[in-house]
Amino acid sequence: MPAIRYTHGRMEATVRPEIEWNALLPLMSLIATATLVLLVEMFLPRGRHAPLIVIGLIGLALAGYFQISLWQTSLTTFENLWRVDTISSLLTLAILGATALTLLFSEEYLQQRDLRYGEFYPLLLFASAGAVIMVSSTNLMVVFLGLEVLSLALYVLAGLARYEVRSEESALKYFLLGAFASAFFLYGIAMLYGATGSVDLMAIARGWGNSAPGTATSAMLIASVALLLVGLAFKASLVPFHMWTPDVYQGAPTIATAYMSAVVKVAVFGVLIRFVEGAAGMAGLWAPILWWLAALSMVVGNLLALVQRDAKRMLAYSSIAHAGYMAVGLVSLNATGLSGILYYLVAYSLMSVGAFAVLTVMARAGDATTIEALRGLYYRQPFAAHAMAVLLVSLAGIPPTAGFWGKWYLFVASLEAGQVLLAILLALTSVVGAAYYLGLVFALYTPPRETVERWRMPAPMAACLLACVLGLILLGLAPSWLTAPARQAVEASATRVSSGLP
Amino acid sequence: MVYDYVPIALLMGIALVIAAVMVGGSWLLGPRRPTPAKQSPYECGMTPVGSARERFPIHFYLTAMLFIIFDVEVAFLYPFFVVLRELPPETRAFALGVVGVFTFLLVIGFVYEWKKGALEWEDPVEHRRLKPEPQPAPAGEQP
Repeated sequence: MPAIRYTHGRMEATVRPEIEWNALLPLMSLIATATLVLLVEMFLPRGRHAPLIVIGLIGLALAGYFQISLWQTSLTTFENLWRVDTISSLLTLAILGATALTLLFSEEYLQQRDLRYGEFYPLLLFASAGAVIMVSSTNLMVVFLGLEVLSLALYVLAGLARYEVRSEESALKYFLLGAFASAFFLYGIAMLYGATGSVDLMAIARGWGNSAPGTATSAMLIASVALLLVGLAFKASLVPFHMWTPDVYQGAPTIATAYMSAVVKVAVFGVLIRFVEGAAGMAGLWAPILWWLAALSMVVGNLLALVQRDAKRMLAYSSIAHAGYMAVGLVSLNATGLSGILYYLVAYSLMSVGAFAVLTVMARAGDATTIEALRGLYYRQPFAAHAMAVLLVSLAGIPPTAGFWGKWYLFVASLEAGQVLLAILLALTSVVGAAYYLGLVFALYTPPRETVERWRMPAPMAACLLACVLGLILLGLAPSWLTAPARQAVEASATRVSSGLP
Repeated sequence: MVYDYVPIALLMGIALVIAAVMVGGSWLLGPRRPTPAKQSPYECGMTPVGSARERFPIHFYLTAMLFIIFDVEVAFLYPFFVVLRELPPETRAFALGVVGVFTFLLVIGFVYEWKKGALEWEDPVEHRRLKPEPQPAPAGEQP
């Protein structure tokens, strides 16, 4: 119910929305931190960023603390605009974690590349606030707001190296295609409103149940679901909506790439999980489409990654492939699949942030990230090479790392759902993927042609890499830590949706 | 239900008539002594027709953007204060708080643009870059 309601120009009833402030505390502390960092940055001398990182980390820890204290609660507040449950808690924590990891290794890169823009830090935190908004609501207008907050900050971050043509190209491409995707998404919201009079994702289920086939309402619902799917597939970089990904990932500063590869995936797949829950009744219509998106993403992503000469571009194609793996979980539409996505998102965030973090050490060598330039990284910086090896092994999906279990759950989920062909595709393309990941590992340990100097590794970056590697191994050894609450969350959410609760 | 749209149709009709009377009246009654300046679409500002690949200072965009931000702020605040008095007292405090946060965030934006020099017409950063690079100091004076 709106706060103020007018009937024929006279105010009839005013209702103050019931607000659970606790549920909003994580987001509020994140936004407050971002604003504070913005203010502090103005008064610091140029190039001095240490206080910003410290404030940012404290703020993220505070937001994380508030989110953890909401663990296992399930509520909606602000007139159903804000939703807290274990899905949103898990994804919010993943976003906060990925942001904290990015904060740890960014400064070194900014200094080495002479990108002394303190704006990087507030923008990063604002982007995270956008991502948190996206995963904490089923109301599509709120989701859209979060999407735009996230995207606008990312457009700027992608173009941070503004005297470099590639970075500019990356920002412009991301902006244009992002705007395009937003338009699809918005049109989908409008159609949903037209069909059901609501902009809540859960209205899809209700609307579909009430509309007879062949009526205008059901036609609008179908159009709405299709448009929403296109908009989200753009952001998730599923084939054939992936064209922007390699160029943007390669052109953007590596720290921005690390961040966006992890956080955008978490946020968009968070929305997609809620989307497939809401639209489960119409699965007969969208599941075949998503089937093709998943299959194409896995095949195209992996095959094109195979022929890349640049590690950044290779990881971009691999991120398309990983989006395809996660889409398998969406197609199978069962508790194993959806909780598998949650597990995969956490694991993928660690792998992706870590892998790009290792690539940032190449800023010392003119930011060359070709596989040729990475050859012999072990002799320059042994720790970075070891960390990269673990991360790549996990990306390839080899046990005992988390990457293996992520793929395993999605594989099992698609078998449970009877999607044998998709399961076979997942397994086969993973084998193809292993080829290029392991190829890069071999390159890292190949002796370089000429003698190389040793590089120092700054302590924060080492801490970041260590956290990623340990996290992946721990999650790989004890996956049930994460999968048990994830499964519970997904099952609780499915019960809620099917019983028609907000 | 269709009757709900009658006022809109009426408004459109009146607007059309007024516009037609104004344009048609001046076309019928007004004296015409054309000069090249009078015949151009805008008498001042930039030429509307020509190559789009022209360079002009980025400050125009910046100023336009800042204008829009604060224009929108006022567009929000006017209707808010008009209805504020009609709210019951217990809701009024909440509503004031919400608008207070909104205004506070905008003030931060204002402080930010001021401090970053967006209000200076001469961009300090660009200005500095256009100057020749300072010559390196002699080796003996290096700290």
